[in-house]
Amino acid sequence: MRFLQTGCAVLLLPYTYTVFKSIFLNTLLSWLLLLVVGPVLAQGPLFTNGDGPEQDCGLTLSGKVLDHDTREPLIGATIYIEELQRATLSDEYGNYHFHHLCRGSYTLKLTYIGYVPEQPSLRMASSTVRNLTLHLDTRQLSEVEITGNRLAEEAQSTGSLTGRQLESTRGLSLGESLKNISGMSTIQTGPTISKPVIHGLHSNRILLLNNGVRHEGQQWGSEHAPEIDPFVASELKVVKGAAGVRYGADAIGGVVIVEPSALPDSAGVGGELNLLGSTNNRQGGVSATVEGKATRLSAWSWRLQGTAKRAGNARTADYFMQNTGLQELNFSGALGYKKENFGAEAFYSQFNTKLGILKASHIGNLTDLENAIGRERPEQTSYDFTYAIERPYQDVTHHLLKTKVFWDTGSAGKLEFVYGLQRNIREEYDAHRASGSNPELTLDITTHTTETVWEHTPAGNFSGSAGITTLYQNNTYQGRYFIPFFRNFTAGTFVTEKWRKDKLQLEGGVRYDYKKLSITKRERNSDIIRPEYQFHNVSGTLGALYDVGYHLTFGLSATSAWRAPGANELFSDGVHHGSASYERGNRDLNSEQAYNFEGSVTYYANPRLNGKLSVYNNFINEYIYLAPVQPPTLTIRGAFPTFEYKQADAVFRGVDLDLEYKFTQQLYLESRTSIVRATNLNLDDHLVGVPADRYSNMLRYEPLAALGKLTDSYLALGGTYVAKQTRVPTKTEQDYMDPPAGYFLLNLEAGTTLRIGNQPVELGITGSNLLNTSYRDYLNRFRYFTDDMGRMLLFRVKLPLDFSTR
Amino acid sequence: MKKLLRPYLAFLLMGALLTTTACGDDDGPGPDEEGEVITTVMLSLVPEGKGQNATATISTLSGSPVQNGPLTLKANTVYNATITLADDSKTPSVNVTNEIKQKTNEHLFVYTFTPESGSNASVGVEIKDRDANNRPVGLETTINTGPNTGAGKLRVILKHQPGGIKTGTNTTAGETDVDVSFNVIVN
Repeated sequence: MRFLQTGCAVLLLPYTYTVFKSIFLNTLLSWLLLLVVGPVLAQGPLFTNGDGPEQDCGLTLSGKVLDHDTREPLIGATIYIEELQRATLSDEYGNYHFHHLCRGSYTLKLTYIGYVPEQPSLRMASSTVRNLTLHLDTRQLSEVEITGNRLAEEAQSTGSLTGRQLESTRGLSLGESLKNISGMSTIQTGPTISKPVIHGLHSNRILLLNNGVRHEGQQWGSEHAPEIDPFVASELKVVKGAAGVRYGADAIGGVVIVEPSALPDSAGVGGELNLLGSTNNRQGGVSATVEGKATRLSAWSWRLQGTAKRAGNARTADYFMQNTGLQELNFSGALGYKKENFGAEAFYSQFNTKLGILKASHIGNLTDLENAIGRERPEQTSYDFTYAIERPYQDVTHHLLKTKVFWDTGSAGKLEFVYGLQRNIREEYDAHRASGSNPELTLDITTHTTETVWEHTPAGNFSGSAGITTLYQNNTYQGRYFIPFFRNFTAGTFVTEKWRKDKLQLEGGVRYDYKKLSITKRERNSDIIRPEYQFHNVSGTLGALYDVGYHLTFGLSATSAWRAPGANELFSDGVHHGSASYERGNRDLNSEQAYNFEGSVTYYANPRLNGKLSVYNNFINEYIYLAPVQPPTLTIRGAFPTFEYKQADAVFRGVDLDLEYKFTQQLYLESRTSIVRATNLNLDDHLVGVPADRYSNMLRYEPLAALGKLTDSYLALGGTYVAKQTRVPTKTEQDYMDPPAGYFLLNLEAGTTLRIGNQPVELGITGSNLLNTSYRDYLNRFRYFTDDMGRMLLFRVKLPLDFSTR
Repeated sequence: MKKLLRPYLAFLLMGALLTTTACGDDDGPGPDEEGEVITTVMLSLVPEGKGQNATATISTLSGSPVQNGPLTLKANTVYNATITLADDSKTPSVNVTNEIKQKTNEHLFVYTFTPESGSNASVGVEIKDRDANNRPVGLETTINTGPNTGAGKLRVILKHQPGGIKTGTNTTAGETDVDVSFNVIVN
C-alpha cells in the first residue's frame, strides 16, 4: 500500500508545473503539505538557536512567496523555521505569517514542488515583512515532460515494491517477496519452492522480465521456482492481467519485472553489504554490492554483486520438516558505457541453488498419498534440525548474459537493442533405492532473445514505440522422460502509442507473433518422431485514464495476450511424483488467448483515506488444464488416477483493493484485499488451484523525528487472513483432499538506522507467523503431507558503503 | 555447499554458456533412463510333499501389468513360496531381489488374498524370512490353501521403508514400490 504514498510523492513532484494554475489542485497540495508539516507544527519549539532568543517574543514574520521570474505568487509553498521546528504554508495569495517569534537569528527552509529549495537566513530584531522568491527547477521540469501529469504510466493496474518495502522482504524468495502486492499470491512446493501467482495464474502463464530480458527456464513446472536473486533488484514491479502487446507471448496472467538500479552516474566507488539471519530454518546469508565510476566525466561504470544463502530444515509450529534446506550462491557483474546520445551495457549473472524436497512427499502410489493425507504429521525418520540436504533435491544453475546498446538520435527518437543469452540447467535427484551419484533427470535449455525497440520522440500529445523481438530456444534432457527435446523459434513485432492531454490519456497497441515449435521425441517403441507446430496470433491493447478531479482517477483497459501450448502440455507422459497422478499430454492443443478487461478507481492525495479499487475480468479462450480421464493407468505400483490436458473457455475475475488510512502523520493503516474467482465455462464449474480470498492489514508507525541517535525508524504490526477455498471443482474429481481451513498469521516489521561514526547501519526485523499457528495453505502442493512454516524472525543488517575519498 | 562454492568455475561455466549453445539434437533423445524400475514380479510355489509346482509372472514390459496365466494351486496344500523381482527393461536384466536382500531392514512385503464373490476359496500367507532386527521381510513365505475351491486375487505390495521407519507391523509406512494382484485359482 505504500505505493500510494510514494506514488504521491513521486507523481506529485513533476505535476506542480501544470498544476499550480489550478486553484483547486493547489488547495489539495496545500492540504497535503500541511499534513506533512502538521505534526511538526504541533511539536512547537524544541530548541532554540545558540545565540539565544531574548525575552521579546511577540514578533511577527510575514510576506509573500513569489516565483522569481514571473513574480506570480506561489500557493502552498512550505516555509519552515529550522531553529523552531515551525512551519507554515503560503495561502491562496502567496502570503505567509509566523507569529510569536522571539528575537534572534533564524534559518528559513523554503520548499515548493517544482522549484529549487532555498535557505535564506535572517536576523529578527523586530516584526519583519519579507518576500521570498523561488527559482523554477529546470531539472524537475524535464521530468514534467516524462511523467506529464497526474495519470499513471498505463491504464492497466500495476503494483511495485521499492525502498523500505522491498528492504523488508530481503532474504525471502522472489515469490514470497511479491506477496506484498495486492492481487499476488504464491504457489508453493514446501517451504523452499515458491512461485508468483498473479490474479490466479502462474508458471508459464506469467512472464518474468529479469533485467529487461524475458526469463526462460523450465518455468512450466509448478515446482520450478524462478531462478532470480531478488537482491539484484531495486524495484519489483507487477503488471496485473494479460499484457501481451509490450511483453510478448505467454503474458496471459501478467508480468513480473525485476529491475536493478541503474549503474552509478556519479564518480566514486560505493556499495552495500547485507547480512541476514533467521530463526526457524536458521537461514544465514550475505549479499554484497560494489559499484563505481572513475570520474564524473568518465563514460564507464561498473557493478559487482553476489549473494550466498544457506538454510536448514524449516519448522512448522510442531516439528521440523525433514530435508527442506536450501543453498544458494549467486553473483553478477555489469559494465556500462554511457555518453549523452549513445550507450552500451553488458551484464552477466549466475544463479545456483540446491533445494531439498520434503522426504515425506516422495510417495509410491495413490494409497501412499491417502495414507499421507491421513497422517497428523509427515512420516519421517528424524525430527531434528540439520543443514544437510539429501535426496530428493533439485540443483539448478541459471546463466544470463545480456548486452544492450542504445542510440539517442535526438529528433528521430531513441533506438535500443538488447540481446540476451540464457542457459538453464536443472538437475533433479530422486530418492530411489539404487540411486547413484547422478541426477535422474537433467533438463538443459538455452535461449537467445533479441529486442529492438524504437521509441519515437514525443510528437504533439503522442508518445510511443515500436519494436521487433525474437527468441530461439533449444531444450534437451538426459535421464527419465518428462518433456521432449524441442527447438522453439518465436518472432514478434509490436507498436504502441499513447495520447495524453490534460486530464485524459488514451493508449493503444497491437502485436503479431509467430511461433514454430519443433519437437524431437523418442516414443515408447523407441521410434523417433519429429512433429512440428506453428502458431501465430495477434494481441491488442486499449486503455484510457481520466482524472476527474476531486482526487479521483478512473482507468479502463482492455488487453490481450496469447500462449502456445508448452512441450509438457503437448507431450508429457508419466507419473507425476508427489501428486500420485498419471499425466498425459495432448498433441492436438491450440493456443490460449486471453482478453483482460479492467476498471479501476484511484483515490489519492487525501489527508486521511487513500486507495485503489480494481475490478478485472480475464477471459481465456481455450484455457489449457489437466482434466481427469478414465480409466486409471495401471502400473506395477498400482492404479493411478489419470489426467490429460484439455481445453475449455475459462474466466478469472476478481477484485483488488488497496486502502490506506492515516490516523496521524506517523500512524497509519495499510489494507490489501485480493479476491479471485475462476470458472470453467464449458463445464460451468470452478477451476482447481485458485487462490483463496486474502486480506492483509498492517498498522504502521513511523516517527517523523529521530529517536535519539536512531533515524528512519518504523514499526509495523498486522496480519494476513486467508480464507478457506470453498470454490473447488464439484463435477469432476480433481483433488484428493478438501481445501485446508482458513488461517490468520500475525506479522511484524521493524527497522531503524543508526550511525557508527560516519557509517550508517540499517537494522531490520521481519517476523512472520508470530503466534506460531499451525496451518496449511491451499496453494501449497505439500499441503497433503505437512503443515506450513511456523514462527520465523528474519534479522537484517545493511551497511551502505562509500569508498570514495572525500 | 561444496558443489555451489566453486566460484572459480564461474568463468568455465560462462564459457559453457557460450560454447554449448549450438549443440545439435539431431540424434534425438537417447533411450528413456528410468533410474530404477521393476518390470517383472514372479511368484514360485513348491508344495511340501507331493504335487505340482506353481508359478505366475506379472510383467509391465508392454505397458500395463499383464499376468502370464493364473496361479493354479491345489486345495489343502502347503507351499513354500519365493518372490523375485526384476527390471527386464535393461539389458542384461537387473535382479532387484538381490538389492532387497541387501537391505532387508528397509523392505516389507504385504500379502492379502481376496476371494472372488461367490467363491469360498481361502489362501493364507505367512512370512518366513526375517531381517537383522528379526522383523518380517516376505521374500520367502509359506502359502497354504484352505479346503474350498474357487478363484480370487492375491495382492502383493512391496513397501520401501528406509531410515528406520520399518516396524515390521506397520504396513502403511513408507513408499510403495510394487502393488500388483495375481489371479489365483484353487482347485
